[in-house]
Amino acid sequence: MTRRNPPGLRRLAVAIPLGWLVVCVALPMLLVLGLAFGEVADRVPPIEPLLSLAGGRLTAHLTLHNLVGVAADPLYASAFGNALLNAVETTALCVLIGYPIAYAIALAPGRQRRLYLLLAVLPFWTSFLMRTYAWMGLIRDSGPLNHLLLALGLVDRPLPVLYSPAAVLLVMVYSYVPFFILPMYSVLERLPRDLLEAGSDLGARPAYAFRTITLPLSMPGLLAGSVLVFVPAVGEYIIPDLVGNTDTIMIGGVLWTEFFQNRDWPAAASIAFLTMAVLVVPFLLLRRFLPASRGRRPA
Amino acid sequence: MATSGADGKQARDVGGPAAAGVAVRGVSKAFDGSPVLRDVSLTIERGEFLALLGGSGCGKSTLLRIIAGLESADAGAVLIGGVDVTAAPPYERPVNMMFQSYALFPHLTVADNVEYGLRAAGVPRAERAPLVEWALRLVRLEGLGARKPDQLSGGQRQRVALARCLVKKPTVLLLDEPMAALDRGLRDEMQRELVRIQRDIGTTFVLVTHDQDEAMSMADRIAVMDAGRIVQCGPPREIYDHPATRFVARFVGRVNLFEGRIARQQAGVTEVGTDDGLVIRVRGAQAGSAGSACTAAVRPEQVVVSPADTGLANEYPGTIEDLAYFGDVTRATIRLAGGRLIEATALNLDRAAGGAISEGDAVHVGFADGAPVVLTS
Repeated sequence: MTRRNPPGLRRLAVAIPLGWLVVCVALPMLLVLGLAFGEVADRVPPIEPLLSLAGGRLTAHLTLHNLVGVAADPLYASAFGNALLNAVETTALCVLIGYPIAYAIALAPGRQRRLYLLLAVLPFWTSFLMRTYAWMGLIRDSGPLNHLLLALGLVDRPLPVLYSPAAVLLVMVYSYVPFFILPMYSVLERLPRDLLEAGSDLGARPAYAFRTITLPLSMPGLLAGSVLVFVPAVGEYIIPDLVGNTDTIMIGGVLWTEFFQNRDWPAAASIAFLTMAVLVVPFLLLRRFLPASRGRRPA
Repeated sequence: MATSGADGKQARDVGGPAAAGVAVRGVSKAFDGSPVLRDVSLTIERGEFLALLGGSGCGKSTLLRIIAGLESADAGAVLIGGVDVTAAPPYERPVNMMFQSYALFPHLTVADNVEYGLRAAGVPRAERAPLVEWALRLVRLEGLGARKPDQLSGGQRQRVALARCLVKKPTVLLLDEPMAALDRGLRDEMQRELVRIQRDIGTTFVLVTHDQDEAMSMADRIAVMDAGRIVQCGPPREIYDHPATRFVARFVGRVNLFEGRIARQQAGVTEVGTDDGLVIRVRGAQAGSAGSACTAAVRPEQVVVSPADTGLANEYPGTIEDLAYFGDVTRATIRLAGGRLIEATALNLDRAAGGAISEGDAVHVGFADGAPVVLTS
């Protein structure tokens, strides 16, 4: 097929995604990286030009000050640590909740399967902010959750859920679990049924078969889903801002504050860049490790 | 075709019913309301090689899966080694199945695949290694234990699947269309190999196949299935020479069917009158009184074609409609005067005889009165 296409068409087919990547990914990232080396100025935009042409000489105004400052400041480190912990917890809970759901959907008969998938992504049809506000209403002191707890006599005064780390985790997991379910489902759904039958036939009880067949073979979906949850969860700032307490600052919120309130673009860019660097390196390692264990070697 | 099954194999002698390998009793199964198995009963002796033969959708694979425990029967019981396992899950049954797809675990090496069933059963490590080695040697894959399934050829994968089952030393080995994915040469080799292994270890084998040659050449006994029922069960020779029904006669080998009625029975010869006015003489008394509907079945290799009189008890004039040359045999299609088509095959014994008969020739076709089998259903 590919061979018969004229080379021009093939180049076009490569050029379109490549162009998209350059314009929408590479350029903005370079911009952010550039900003990280810039200097704050009292002007619009609030930054000194990175390059200037004075007296026929092109001068670059770059400084490591921001990156070093952000990296050295314990405030940022603790905000990053908080965000990382929150993302790890969110991802772990998304795996624990999303895996069984994805598995159940994959095992359901054909027609029901589509309905369940639809239900899994149904929350996306409502604005993310609306859903977060709805949760705030549900878990506030005078909300339905506390009404229920009081009515059941489980507590004698309202449980302060809202503005707690638990609330952040709850809403985070609620918001992110569909991102885990979808890739997880697509892998589990393609898992050959006869492998499980073979396992059972060979004497594997369901739990053993799950551990030795289903789980290892669904690892790609589990990893993909975890990445899809973990990466945006690290940078999440709306949920902690709306339902969390003000003591636990997270890197996303800090970045927002630096950019919009302090108008310190270089600091914000440095935070963004360093966060990305810290996240990307482990994933590159993961990518190196994964194909090696699953790839096919020449026979 | 008849020769391929006649390698002198006989069903082994076995003990009483307690020694039975598998007993299927009155098993029925329906999928979404449409019956797939209808009251199937079958006894497979210990150490026997039985083939379930039938076309697609006849229920043979479902029966195999019910024996394995991968499907549950709607009614009836399954006994393995005399123990009722109807309610037992697959992992508690002393049977192992070789899947059509082989179902090898892609993330495990060959040795780990073979070892899987032993680990699952909690066999201690020290006992597992020699068993795995034994199984790999049995299927002639020693030295390939470290490979992954996707580094193997189709034939090697099948051997792994076989070793993975045999290492468990099952009471019964179930094989679901094991040759379907192999090319012809490899298929013949694996057929012989399977028969060799089955004789070596003496395990009961149940083979599901739609390939009559495979069933005939490998099995001690064949159960022919049609529309959810076992229509005949017996040694290959019996199935071929004495088919119980028109379906069996047509499904196993090729056959000429003469539908008609019993005209008269006298002097040890039964005459069957067909609707188009032929009289077929069959040696021996047949069940059924004069006038009852029946079918005379004659295998093509028993039909003689000659330019002159054949001198046989049944003889009809006709014209050669078509000659198909297969190398070892030539198949002739002859149109009789009444319009009926008859098939005759002859071994090409004499190289010089080619061209003795050609299409359009007027010929006589004949067969002895011992050739036809009279079928009543």
